Amino acid sequence: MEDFYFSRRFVLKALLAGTATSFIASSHALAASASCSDKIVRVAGIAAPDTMNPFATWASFWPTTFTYDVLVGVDAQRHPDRQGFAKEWSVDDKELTWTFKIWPGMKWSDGKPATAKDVAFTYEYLKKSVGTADELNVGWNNTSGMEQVQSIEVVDETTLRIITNKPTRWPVDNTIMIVPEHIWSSVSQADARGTFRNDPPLVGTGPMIVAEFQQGQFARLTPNTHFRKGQPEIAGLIFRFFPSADSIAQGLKSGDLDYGMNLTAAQWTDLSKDEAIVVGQGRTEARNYLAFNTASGKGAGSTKALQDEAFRDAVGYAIDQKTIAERAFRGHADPGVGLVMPAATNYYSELKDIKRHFDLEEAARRLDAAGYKDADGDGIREDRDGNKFQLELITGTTSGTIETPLAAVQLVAGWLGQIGIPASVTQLDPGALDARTASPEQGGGSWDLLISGGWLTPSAPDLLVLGEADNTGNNSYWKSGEFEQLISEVKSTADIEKSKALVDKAVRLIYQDAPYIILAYPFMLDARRKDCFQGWGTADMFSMWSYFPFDRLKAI
Amino acid sequence: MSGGVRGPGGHHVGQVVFRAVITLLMVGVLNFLLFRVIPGDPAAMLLAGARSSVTTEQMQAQRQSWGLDKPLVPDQLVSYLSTTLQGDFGYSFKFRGKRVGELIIERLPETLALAGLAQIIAIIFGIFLGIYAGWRRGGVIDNLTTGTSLALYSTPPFWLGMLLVVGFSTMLGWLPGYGSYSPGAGDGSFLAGLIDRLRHLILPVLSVALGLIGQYVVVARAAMSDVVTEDYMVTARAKGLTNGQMLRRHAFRNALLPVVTLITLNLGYVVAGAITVEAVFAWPGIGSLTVEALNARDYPVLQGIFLLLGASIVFANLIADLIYGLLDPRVR
Amino acid sequence: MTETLPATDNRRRIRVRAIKSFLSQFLGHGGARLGVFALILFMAMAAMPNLLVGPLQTAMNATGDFLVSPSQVNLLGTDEAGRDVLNLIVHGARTSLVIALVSTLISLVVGTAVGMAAGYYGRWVDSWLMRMTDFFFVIPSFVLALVITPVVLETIGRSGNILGFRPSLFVIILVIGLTSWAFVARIVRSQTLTLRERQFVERARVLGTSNLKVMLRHLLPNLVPQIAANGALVVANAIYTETALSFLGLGDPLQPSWGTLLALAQRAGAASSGAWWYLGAPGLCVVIVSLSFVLIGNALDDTFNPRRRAIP
Repeated sequence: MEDFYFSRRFVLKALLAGTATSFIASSHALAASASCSDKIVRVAGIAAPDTMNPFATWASFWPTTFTYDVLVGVDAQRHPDRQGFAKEWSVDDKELTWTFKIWPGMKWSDGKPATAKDVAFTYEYLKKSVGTADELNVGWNNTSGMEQVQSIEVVDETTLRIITNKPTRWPVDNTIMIVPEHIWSSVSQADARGTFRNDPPLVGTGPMIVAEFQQGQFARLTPNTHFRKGQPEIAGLIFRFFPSADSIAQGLKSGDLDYGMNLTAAQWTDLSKDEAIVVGQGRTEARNYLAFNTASGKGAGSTKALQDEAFRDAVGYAIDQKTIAERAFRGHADPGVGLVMPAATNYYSELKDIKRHFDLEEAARRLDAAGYKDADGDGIREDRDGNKFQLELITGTTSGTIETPLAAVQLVAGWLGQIGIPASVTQLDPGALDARTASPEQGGGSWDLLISGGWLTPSAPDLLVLGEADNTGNNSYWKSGEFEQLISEVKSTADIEKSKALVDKAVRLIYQDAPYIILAYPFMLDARRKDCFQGWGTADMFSMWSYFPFDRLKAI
Repeated sequence: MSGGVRGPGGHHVGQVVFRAVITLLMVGVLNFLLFRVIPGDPAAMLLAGARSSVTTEQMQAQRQSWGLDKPLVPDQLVSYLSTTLQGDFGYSFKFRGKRVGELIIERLPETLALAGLAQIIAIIFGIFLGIYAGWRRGGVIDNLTTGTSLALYSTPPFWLGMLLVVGFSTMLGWLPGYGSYSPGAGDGSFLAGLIDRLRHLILPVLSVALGLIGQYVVVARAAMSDVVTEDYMVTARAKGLTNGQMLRRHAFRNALLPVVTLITLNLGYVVAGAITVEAVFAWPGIGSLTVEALNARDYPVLQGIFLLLGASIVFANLIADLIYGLLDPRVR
Repeated sequence: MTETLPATDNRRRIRVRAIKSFLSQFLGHGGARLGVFALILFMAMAAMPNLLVGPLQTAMNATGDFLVSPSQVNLLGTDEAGRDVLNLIVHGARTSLVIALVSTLISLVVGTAVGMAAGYYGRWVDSWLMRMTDFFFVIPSFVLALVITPVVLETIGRSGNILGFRPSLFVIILVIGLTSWAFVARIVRSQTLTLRERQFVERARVLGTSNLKVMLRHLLPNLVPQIAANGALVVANAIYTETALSFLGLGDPLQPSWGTLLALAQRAGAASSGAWWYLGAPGLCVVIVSLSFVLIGNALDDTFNPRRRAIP
């Protein structure tokens, strides 16, 4: 009797399950084709913005970059067809007065006129905060480089003049997003720096306006009807945030995504075999490096050898950047040389005349010559105090936007072991890593080697940040009077040729002192589907500095 | 034998509740202390974006605005306890400006949907199968069920999730392998949005449910087997009751006891287990919030989540104790 | 004249017989045989990985091509840096098993101590110890471990090797051990409460044996069956916790356990590029070992607490 009782229930359940399955599976077909017909571009990347306020955080770059213009910035200087808020610009002979012509008739997305007054407001807003407790130096829109700005004048609605104390390229190199005066004038600097969330819908001059933001999930953007080039032809943009690249590759394959960035080498290779997908790799301004803890006194490492440039230079001969690029990055990186990466075409140099080459025996010889011999023949060298080397190498679980592959860390540790300097690796999560790499006054330090990376703008001062004293971007605690001198000169130079010479000098100086061994300049791996949309870039399908290609993308 | 776990039989309901309250208080205080011991200064983290060196005044101002400059005990502790009791869980460090309570409430439904649905499915299938297997001990179906259940019980749910993604998402392309819904899918009709959500739920729910089914089957089956060999069951059969009657009247209710306890205990662990599955499926729930907050040293958020967890588990334990007292005839 | 054996020999004989009978009963369970067999296999892997597959492959000595599917050269394929997955799995066995077993040992020791003390002394000792146990029971051990690990890593984890293991491994062992004892404590306590009333305990106390001796000499041996049966489950739980913690990134990628391998696989994009071998192998090992312990635990439980009676 109960057999029948049980089996009836089973059958009923199976029937229900069956119908549900077919119903659900069929709607998959609907979902895939929807992406073309609704003209909404679906894009994904590894990002985690916590607020849409560009003054409060760096992480809001995606997606606010689609909503706001920069006055000039990186893209406008590289590509004549990718301008920002300014139509044209010039500087006088003394290199102290910059004049910018704003696009005439521009409007904010809420219809109000966008003029030079808004640019002046944005810059003044930042300038007013300099030196105060609420200085706006924590987000994408920050005060860095404004020390030389003397005044910002609105000549008329479409003309802006910036006067600097000393020549500087800040007026064209800065990447500050221009925000509307009529929205932000009521927000105090303290709030802008912290709690003001800038809730959607945003008001900007870019082609796509952030209309909805679900933290940890996605941002939805709608076309700006008042965009200066006319309303974009796409119906919308959805930017999805993911913590890892797995989901991005899946989405591309299934057709759920039109474009994805931050792919891993494995996914890139796999996607390149897919007929419906185009893969791309672009040079970036990112650098991955090995840093030595050169601090002496508080926060110093476990051995004084780290403070000796002969030691660091010798270690440099034990690092094979070519192998790192090939094995760790699977070819998707340029081998590291000096502070400047190939993407910064103005300043890059291969430093052929002073470049170190990979030679473990040469490294061993140099270490011996510097006084770090292996006295007792156990394979481990001793430093000048007679202590055996045992270095602690710290690294993060993620570093910057482009992860340092673990293989690179293993390779470096392996080579160090081979020349008699054992290094044990500790991986730290971001909070702990930040704590350890903070300045010694703030409790950081006491590590020996660090493998990390960073991605800044290709402007000269940013290129040299790694060596700038007391800058949070300088992980090795290194200081050099001469380097500081060069930096301050660079910061007072607007002429490219002059600054090239200065940067070159600085790069050579720091290369020889070797507080860093630059490991690689990783590429950004991305991919897009061939169907649905056209207008993607050829050399780079998706800009890392502006809203290109969303001002010109259209449906196929 | 009742010499095993002592139910609340000898205690008043009041005493059980009192115990729960004390535990909750302990959770609160230890919760507070725990997160302050973690290294990594949140003030430094907040200013991590500063390009040039941060002055000590700026650091101090930051500290003050977040209340980090007062001594740990008693100032910070007291203010933490008093504000928490009023329902104010503070502001998140990382998602600056957002109230912790808001963050948690935003993310909670996603986790509840995932874990809740998984629990329901697991309870239905698991108990059903377990009781059947326990009733009909021996035989192919029993061994198969038990074997599979044990295997599922030993499988990490996030690994199962990854395999399901490889199979159903990457290879077959039937179901989405990430997120809880496709943005814009709900713009059409309500039904389209609902179907989209259901499609996203299937794989994550399956990952969690299969492991739970394994657990329930094993426990239900064991409980059933125990009951079936008890004296009163033999007596009942001797009295001439049919199988069906025996099952429904005696076996079922008595076998239910350990199973019910397990269910109420598991309810408290709903959030904890979801953490790893949420990581695999990029599921925007409490689990991924915990990992994000941990990485960012976001104390207020972590405290809030921990308190939520602690409270729900204490509550679940309380229910379990009370139900046990109600159901177990021996304890009364 | 009958020969009478000396008392000690007699006792030894009885013990040997008891053990033999236990083993035959225990191994009579099909599950137990499977479990023991699988465990022996994995223990062998863990004991001598270098003998079986050579030294742990790192990016330095990896020879394979990137993410190759299983072939004759690489039986389980390679990972994203060309390392042989079989090699990684065999070395991972050592890491995973050591963590699971040692942390279980810690849990059992702490749990038994707390449980016995609570059950034996009773009254306010019991009350306070149970409050503490409640707390550890309440917070899911995994979440607690997730939060404590970075703290302990900071204070303990530095450089160097201890017995061939990196310090971060000890951290995980410590953390799992210290967060999973509540379960054992509860069981031990309730067993102790029962045993406490038995005659032999009364007798020992009347004779004036110290409390500690009573606990160690009389109570503990009687607790062993329960502890053993539940201990197997604790190991299974420890394996799960370690795998989950490592998956979330708290493991050590330079001495990877199976959980860490899963994390590395996910980060390399194995799931979306179809590298099923990289993903499947570590997970399968976890399932098999965990299952083995569960089967053994169940069999032990059945052997020590026989409850089956045939229904007429």
